[in-house]
Amino acid sequence: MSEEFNCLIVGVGGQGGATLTNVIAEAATRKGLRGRMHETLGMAQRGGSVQVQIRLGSQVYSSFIPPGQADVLIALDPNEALRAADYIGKKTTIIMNTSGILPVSVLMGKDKYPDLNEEISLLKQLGKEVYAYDAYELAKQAGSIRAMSVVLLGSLARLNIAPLTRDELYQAMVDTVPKKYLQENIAAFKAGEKEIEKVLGK
Amino acid sequence: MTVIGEEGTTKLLLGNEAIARGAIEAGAHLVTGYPGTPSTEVIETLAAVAKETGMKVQWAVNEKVAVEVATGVAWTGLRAMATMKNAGLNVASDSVLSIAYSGTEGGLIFYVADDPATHAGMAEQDDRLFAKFAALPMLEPSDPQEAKEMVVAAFEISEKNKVPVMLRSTTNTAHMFGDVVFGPVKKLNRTPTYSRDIRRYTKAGPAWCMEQHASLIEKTKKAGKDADEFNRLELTDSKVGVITAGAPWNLLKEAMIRHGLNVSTLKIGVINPLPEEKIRKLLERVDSVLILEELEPLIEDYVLRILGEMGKKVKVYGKIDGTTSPVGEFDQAIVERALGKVLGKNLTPAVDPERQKLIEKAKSLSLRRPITFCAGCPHMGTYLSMLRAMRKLKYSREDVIITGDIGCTILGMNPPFDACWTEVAMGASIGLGNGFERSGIKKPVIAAIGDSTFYHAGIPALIDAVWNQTKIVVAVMDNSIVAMTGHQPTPGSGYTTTGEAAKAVKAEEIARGCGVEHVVVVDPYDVEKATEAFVEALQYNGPSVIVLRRLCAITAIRRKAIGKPLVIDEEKCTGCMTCVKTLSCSALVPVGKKVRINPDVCIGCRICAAVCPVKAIGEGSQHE
Repeated sequence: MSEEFNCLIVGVGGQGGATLTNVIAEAATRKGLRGRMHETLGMAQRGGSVQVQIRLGSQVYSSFIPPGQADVLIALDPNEALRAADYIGKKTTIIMNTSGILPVSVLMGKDKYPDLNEEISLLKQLGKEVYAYDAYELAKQAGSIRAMSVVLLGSLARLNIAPLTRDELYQAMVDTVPKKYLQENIAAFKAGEKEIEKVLGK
Repeated sequence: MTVIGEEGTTKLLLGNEAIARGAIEAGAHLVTGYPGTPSTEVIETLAAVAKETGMKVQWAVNEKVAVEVATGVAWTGLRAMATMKNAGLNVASDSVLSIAYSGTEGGLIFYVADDPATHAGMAEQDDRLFAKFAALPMLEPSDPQEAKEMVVAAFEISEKNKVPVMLRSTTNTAHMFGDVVFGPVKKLNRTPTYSRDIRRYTKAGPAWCMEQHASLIEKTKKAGKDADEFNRLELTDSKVGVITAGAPWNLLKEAMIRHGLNVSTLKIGVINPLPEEKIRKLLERVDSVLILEELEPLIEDYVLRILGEMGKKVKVYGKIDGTTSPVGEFDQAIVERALGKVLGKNLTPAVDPERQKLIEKAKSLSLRRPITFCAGCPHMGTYLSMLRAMRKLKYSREDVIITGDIGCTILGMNPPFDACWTEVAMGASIGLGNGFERSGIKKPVIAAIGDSTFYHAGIPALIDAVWNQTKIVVAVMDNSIVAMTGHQPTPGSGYTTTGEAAKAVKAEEIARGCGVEHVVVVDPYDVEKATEAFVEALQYNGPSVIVLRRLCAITAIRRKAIGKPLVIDEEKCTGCMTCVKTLSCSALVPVGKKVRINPDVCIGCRICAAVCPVKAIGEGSQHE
């Protein structure tokens, strides 16, 4: 099943996970890739955990990614990346926004938000590679924090690990996001690419 | 994604969107239902294209009404569908069972979406049993393409056999995206006709009822045969067989590919009546059979019965021997474990214990996110006022029973409010509250119910409160939208499902009409007035209704009908965290020892300003 591509997107309601999903699905459909996809939105309009599973490949039937079989984990929130640990395997590339949304228990002073360094070290042991940075900050510089998820999309595109090329993802993004937010999204996408180039030293 | 497109177009559609496309292709005249996860998207999808298709697309006040409206249309010879979640079928069931006896003229589908693993809360009820109970034919798809095909076929089969057809999905299929190839769109242009036939359309007398019952049984049998193409039998030379239906079929198929398995399979698409012949054929071939079905052992019970009749010894793996659980939904691991058990092989990937430890550690570090009210949610104002009124009257938390209801209002059960005590069913907050009061328990009762829930099933219980002189406070939390399922209009919204202006049904008018004498309408953003309203109502000797009216914050944001973000005066803020601890509003962010307001999230509701003990929160201009 080498041609199977499993992409897991996790985050919190309202973070732009749906935009990411739409872009990847649109790019895949245009390319004629067969796929199955699944969203777990829970009951939350806002503030709850959100998970999207995207699977591409001719032999894919279920929309559930098997444990340890994610090729990519895109985490819009660090706390949600931890929750998805079951899906991380030795082949998993993790792209993560490090600026977390605090759960109520943290706001109320009952819990402490997970320590980022401890988390990244854990994820590095579990997965193949971890690319973690403050995507909210990059999105803000690009024009709006609304575009945070598109920063991570830019990184996915630059890493060239999906069965979709950088240009296919880019074009699908341009055609999918609302026109009035296009400029900030283009800037966000490029910022995500640049972040990877910095790490890869190119 | 839009479901408009030429024949032959391929689109990635959600299961529910595919069902919507099926209704368009079949030329349905009307689709109605009540919002409920995971069924909601069928009507949302159809409403978005209603102008292009000319279809009547309408949210109903509840599922029972939806089923009745769809049936009225179908009895005139046109095609119609009613959609609902599992719990909704319970509400509709009285009419469904009776309608089944009369049958139909035009194609009629009742679509129900079940929810193994209760992603959307409520019971894990298996509505495949309902089809048996109602003696109605039922189809169940495994993916979006099949869902669309089944809708088109179900309309034909319903019409041909003059019987309503149930379509059942589960969350996994309803919310799965998959490729769907569009078929041709039928233009039916039928003229509605209906003739009086009381022998068929009434239940006057046992003779007619039994005649109708006998006819229903025959019709359902025939309908099952007509849908037999959806039961797919693939026999191999293996002595092991697997029978499955719905979402688990996808998991089975993948496991077979992954492990190169050659077992015989029967993929059942017709849940009622089950395909006896094909089941027999498979059982003749095998020594052991695995039944892969989520929730109840419906197919398994039937297989055991057939085996009894055949007098053949076949080892059956399923729920009864504990191979799979009747609780929750299936995933790859469950299916591989079950297959491994039947085949006597280990198909489960080896687990590295060290690695598993790391995974468990990662998961243990992640914090739960109990869902909370959105920033600016008017329900925060309601619960804050309710609790404040209780304190003013010297009641402790344990002194007042607060019955909760279905929808966003129930989030009041979670921290930081910890207000609601119960959650039973749509409208049950009032009926249950009436019961608590009549027990003679020395605790006042407040029923906390949303506007749509009130219209749906709360009104009869309110009449009961008036009739039986019950001292109860009913808080109708009117945000003028069905918020939890994605902001569908309610009878109080003032517009229809497709956006045309409509008369708004007002909760206060209903309450007065029901005979409630103490009725007030307040804005939950006005915490002082709302608190006063609860104080008065709690002291009132009889049923009282407080309508707390303020548009849902998310809807307000979409309509750009929101206030300016507030700011916290850093000098005044003492860092006492009262605002954060009382409201846990996502706009309030602790920074260091003080609190700041996130201007991207705050909509200026001012509820926090009413909470701050040092009056540090206000409009920006006052402080800058």
